[in-house]
Amino acid sequence: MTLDSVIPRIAGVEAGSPAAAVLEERGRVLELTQNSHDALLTPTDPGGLSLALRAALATRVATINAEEALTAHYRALLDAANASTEDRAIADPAHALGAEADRWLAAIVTHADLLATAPQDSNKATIEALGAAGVEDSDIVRLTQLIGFVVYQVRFATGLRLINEQ
Amino acid sequence: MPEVVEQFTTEIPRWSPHVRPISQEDATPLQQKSLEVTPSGGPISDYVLVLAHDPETLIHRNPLFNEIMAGSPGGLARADRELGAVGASEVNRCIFCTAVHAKRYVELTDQAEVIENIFQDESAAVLPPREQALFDYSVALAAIPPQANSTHIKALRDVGLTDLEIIDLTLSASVFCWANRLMETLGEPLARASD
Repeated sequence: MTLDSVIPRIAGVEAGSPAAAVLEERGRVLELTQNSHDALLTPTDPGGLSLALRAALATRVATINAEEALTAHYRALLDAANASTEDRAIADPAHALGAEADRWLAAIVTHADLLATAPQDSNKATIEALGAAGVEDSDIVRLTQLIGFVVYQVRFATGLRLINEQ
Repeated sequence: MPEVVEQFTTEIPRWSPHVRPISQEDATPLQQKSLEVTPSGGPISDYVLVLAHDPETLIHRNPLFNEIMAGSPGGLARADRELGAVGASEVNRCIFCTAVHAKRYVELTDQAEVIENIFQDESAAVLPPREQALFDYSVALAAIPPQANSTHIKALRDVGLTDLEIIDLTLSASVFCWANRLMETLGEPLARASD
């Protein structure tokens, strides 16, 4: 049961390994991590951020972090969601939104990249610009939690792989 | 106008939100429930009231944060978890998180010089061997993408860490890579009035 959640799956933790033994002791952390994943990727009330957009942004941030297994996990969620062509394009960090892109969506993607790569460069004006582009306060919080969570997942999985390496 | 704090400090700044906190009186039942557990058992702060815009997440996130930093029986000592938090927060330059957890680290260990060295030389800080291994791993893990590798793990094992302790350190640095992104973008640290 312990190994049947996203983190051990993407970290490749097999029964009997050192990482599996450690996770036995950290069942509560694993459970709350999975609950956070579900609340962020498949919420009951998604607000302004559709499930497809969430999966696309999570794929994008996992890719920025060079985390292949997690990228594949989120890409599968994106495939299962009713994703538009635009959502699919967003999943690729090489894709920059053109001048014709929707202002709201462009603001979301720009901020997701800032959160992923240089959160210290965000300031009051950054958040005001999101509001000016029509992003609701509640969606700013949802977006920030989503990107923060993916960044956390990447590092949790990295640690598990490293203790299994040697 | 109070100034935004831009240098690392152990004097905890005041956190001023950029996103309007929810009003507790108007909170939905789910929002009220999400406020029942707060980070480190503190008061219902503006920070928590901002996060309550997404109660479905908050209801799991605060308990997860507390489990990683103060729960998870056995394993890594509380002070060492704080050092992991400081390592990640320094990389992400989160002034507020660094202040809170550097202060707590000093309270738990009485090793003010470890924090002074980190504030002065940041990721290049030279520390006693055990603290060095913990700090360097936390810093490498927080890099984007993560730079942690088997050399870091060997250094942690050489100073006596078990696998369980290494994962507890991983979790504290990782959960701060998340917390920093909330704290330093949804609001800013302001200097407290000096009078």
